[in-house]
Order: sequence, then structure tokens, then C-alpha cells
Amino acid sequence: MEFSETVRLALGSLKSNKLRSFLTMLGIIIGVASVILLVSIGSGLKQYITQQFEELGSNLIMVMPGKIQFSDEGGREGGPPGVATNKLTLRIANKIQQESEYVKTALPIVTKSLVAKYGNNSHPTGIIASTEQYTVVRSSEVSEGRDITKAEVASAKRVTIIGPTLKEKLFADSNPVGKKISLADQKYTIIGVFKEKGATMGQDMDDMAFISITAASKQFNIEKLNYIYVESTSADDTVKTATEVKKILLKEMDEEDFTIMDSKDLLSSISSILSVLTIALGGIAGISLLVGGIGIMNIMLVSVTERTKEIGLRKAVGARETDISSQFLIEAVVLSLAGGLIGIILGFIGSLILGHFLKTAVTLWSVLLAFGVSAAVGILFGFAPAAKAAKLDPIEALHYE
Amino acid sequence: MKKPVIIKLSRVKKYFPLDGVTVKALNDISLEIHQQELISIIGPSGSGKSTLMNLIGCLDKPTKGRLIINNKAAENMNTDELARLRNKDIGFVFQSFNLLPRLTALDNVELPLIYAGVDRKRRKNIAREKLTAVGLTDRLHHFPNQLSGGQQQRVAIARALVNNPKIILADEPTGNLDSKSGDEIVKILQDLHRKGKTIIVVSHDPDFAKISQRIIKLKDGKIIN
Repeated sequence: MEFSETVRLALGSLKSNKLRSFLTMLGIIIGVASVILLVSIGSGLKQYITQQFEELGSNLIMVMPGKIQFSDEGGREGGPPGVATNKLTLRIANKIQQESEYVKTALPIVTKSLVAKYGNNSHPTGIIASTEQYTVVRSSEVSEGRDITKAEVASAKRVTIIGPTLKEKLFADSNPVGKKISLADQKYTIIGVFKEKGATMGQDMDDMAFISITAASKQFNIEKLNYIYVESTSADDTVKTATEVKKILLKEMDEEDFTIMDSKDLLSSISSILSVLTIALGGIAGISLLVGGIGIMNIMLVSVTERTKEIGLRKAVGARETDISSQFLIEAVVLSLAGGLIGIILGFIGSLILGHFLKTAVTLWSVLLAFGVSAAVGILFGFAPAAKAAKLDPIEALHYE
Repeated sequence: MKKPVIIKLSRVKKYFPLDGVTVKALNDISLEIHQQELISIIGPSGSGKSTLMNLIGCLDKPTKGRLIINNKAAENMNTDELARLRNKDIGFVFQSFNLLPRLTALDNVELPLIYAGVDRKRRKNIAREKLTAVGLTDRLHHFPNQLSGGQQQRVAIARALVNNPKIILADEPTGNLDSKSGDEIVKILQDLHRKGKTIIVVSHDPDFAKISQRIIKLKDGKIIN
């Protein structure tokens, strides 16, 4: 008997029992849809976090004061970073910049919380102090006014670029460029406004004022850096760069009183955690696929019993055991594949709807997996009923009432 | 001159285990049936008629003895070979018609051709031809429940004929029919016999007794005439 004939036969008997076929498929539909939906949430989360990291820059290395040990036994040693033991200075940042060929830029960063005032408006915010390289390295753009110049940094000029949140708090809709604001009682002239960046890791990146690092040390007497951003010449060289930076720092300090964090390392460990999470979500949804498969087996077994007489007759007129078993097997596979297809479509639509509230990403592998699993479920759970049908004794089957 | 033997049973025994006891359904039966014979098998219930029919129809295998159908030794065949033999060499007609309710008359008649591997177009043609031969040209696309008993049995006969088997086995073919429809079926079978088929009928219908060349009486698993 030809394969196409068997498929036609299976489709015919499924069509003659539409409601039951649909209800049987429902288990698979729900299973596949939930696999796709949950995996899309997991993948969306992973994409979101990866993207956030890439915005930070994948070729970035962060040098922080104090020693943070990520070892198994020690836990965290040496007290909180940047308090008593902070040995990072502008001089060290310049050394890193000059002495390593892998370093493109070493960006000294100072942050400080203070209150910004303009007229009667005041707003608690923070300053970020760095060099003219800041906008390049942090890929910030100045949307109104202009960026700070090298000369302004060198001469510790009292100029500032403010974030859009701070602008809104102090100036509402009016143009702040050229106005003077006071940052903790020091007057600064606004030369520009940053383009909106949104939140990264839950922190509003737009609620800040940028001043030059020289101004920070002159007007606020800040000598210690909160951290140094080191940008390597290429993303492939971050490991080499980190090693070089460590060497330079060790030359400057008598002990290892700093922490170097490579964004690649961090990203890969976070993304592996998220992969496990995604697989776990998919696995939970996979259980409902299993339940759907058992539903198919159940109905197919009932169907074999109901159609005992038909099976007997088919055998009497010349159907071989394989003809009978493939008929029932294909019915089960058609049920689960059709359920799988509908489930994929529903899962896709579901993740599109959910995409309005949180980031989702339907991945090819989850679709292929769901489809493959539903086909496998059909074969696996169709097998027992098909074998039962094939083994029926034609004489008994013919006399079955 | 006698035609060649088409069905031969030598010393056939068929035993069934039942509640720990062995039931001897057929006890040492030897029988030769020639081509183009029309034979009736009669006997009280439990005499072994059905078992004999099942053996000749290759739905079952003898416990002991030899069974030759159309020059093929059926007692040694596996299930696939038996299926092929049923498909090619034997046509079945049942008391309760055994048509598939979800298939049209045409589709029902096609069934044996599907398992014979005949392509779709040829199948339709042969099935239509056979249904025409039993006078159902205008009922091709009717479902069994839209047909009378006599019509259903004629569809079943058409189905038995599609693979041009040499042997037709009919088990109480008129048992579920009124006398007028029954007469029609008897006539069709008689006609097939004239055209060269070997026909074996299990029936107590006197009409069959009249047209049969030989009547085999069974009792307690043995032939008594």
C-alpha cells in the first residue's frame, strides 16, 4: 500500500470525527504554544540583557578600587571598594592610557551625589566627571548645545552637560543651554544636553550632570577615582588588555588593591545563567507536551477499540499488519503535527501580544524543537495503539460488536 | 471431465484452548474442492462450519494437516503471505455485509484494490465496473446506511470480485435479507458460478441447496456425508 494512500486514509478518518480530533490536538496545541511562548520570554530576557551589556561596550574593562575576590573560599575580601583603600588616581589613569598598546582609551570616572539648583527649582542628582572622551567611550550623544572640548577639560572650566531628566526637572520645556546652574553651590554654565539614554539595569542614565574631571578635582577636591573605564583597541583583545592593565597597576601599587572586570566575562556568565533559565522554562512547558501526547495515545486506543470491526474487515480483504499499523500511526502523527503547527502559530501570536509588555523573542530553535517534539510524540504515543490494531485477530475482530 | 482441484485439505485438525480444555473444532478433515464448483456447507451450530470457512479463507491456520489454496501451501505461510492470499485469491461475502459505514459504495469496493497496490484511477474504474455488474450504477456515491440490505450485500459482492479471485466464500449471505433480496443474491452467486468462480456457501437456505453441486454436512468437527 502506498504511503500517500495511507495518509489519505488517516486524514479521512480524522475528518469524520472533527470535534474529537480537535480536542485530542488541544493538548499538543497548548504544549507547543507554551514551549514557544516561555522560551521566547527567556530568550527575550537574554537578548535584552546582552543588548544592555553591548551598550556598555563589549570591549570595555572596568577597573575598580579595592579588591573584590570572586573566589570560592574567600568570599569578598578587603572591605567595600572605593572607601579607605582607594588608590586610583588620575595619574594612574593616564599611565594606563600611555603604557599599553592595547588600550585605546582609559577613562577616569568620578561620581558624586549632590543637589542641583536653578532658580527656585532644585533636584537631587549626581555628577559624573570625566574627560572629553566620555561621550565617545560611553556612546552618549549631545542633542542640544555642544560637547565639552579638550581645552575646557584642561583648564577645568565651569561648564556642564546635563542629562534630559535633570533638564526636565529644572527647566521643564525651556532651553537650558547657556544658563547657569549650581551644583552643590558651585556655578556651572550649561553647554549641552545629552540625548535620552533611558534606564540601564534599572538606573536612570539621564538624571545626571557631566563636568570635567579637572573641575571635579579643583572645585570639589576629589582626588580619588570611582573607577576607570578601559576601552581596548578591539573586542578580541580584552583579555590581553586586562592582563596589561593589571601589570601596570601592580607596578604603581605595592599590592593588588583593585579589581578588574571584563564585561565579556560577566556577560558570558550571565547569559549562561539565562540559557539555563530558558531551558528550564521550555522543559516545564515540555511536560504539557508529554501530557498532550498521552492524550493522543488515550484517544487512539479508544479509536482502535471502536474500529475493531473495520480493522477485521480490512485484514480480511488483504491488509497486512504494516498497512494497519501505519494507518493508525499516521493518524497519531497527523494529529500531533497539526496540533504542533497550530501551537506554533498560537505561540507566535502570543509572544507578539506579550511583546507589548516585555521583550520576547521567538527563536528558530524553539520552533524546530516544538515541531520535532510534537512529531516524536505522535510516533511515540501512536505506536502502542497502532501495534494493538495490527495484532488484532481478524476473525475475532470481524465478530466484534 | 473434472476440473483441477483448487482447494485441498488433508487430515486437517483445528484445536482451540478453552478454559484449560482443548476444543476440537475440526477433527481430521480431508476435502477436495474443484475449480468452478458450487458447494454448500451445512451443519448445526458448533459443528465447525465457521472454523472450516476461516481456514479456507486463510483467516486462520490449521493446528495440524495440510491446506492448499490455489496451489499454494497456506499452512506454512506467515501473516503477510496469508493477507496477500486473501487479497488476491479469495473474495469474502459476510452475513452482516461488513461495509465500512464512513465510506461510499465506490470506496468500499475499492478497498481490496488499495491493499493490492492498484493506482487510484484504475481502482475507480474497476470498482465502478464491478458495481455496474451487480446493478448499482446509480448508487456509487451512496453510503451504506443509504442503501437497502440487498443493495448493501450487492456492494459487498462487488467488493469480493474486484481483485478477480478464483474463490468466493459466502457466510450466510442471505441470512439478514428478506426473501426477495435473498433471491437476487442467490441469482448473482449462481451467475458468478457460471462465469467460472468457485463458490463455497455456508447456508441453510434451501435455495442454495437447490443450486449446489455438492453439500457438505458437518457435525462435531467431522464431515458426515
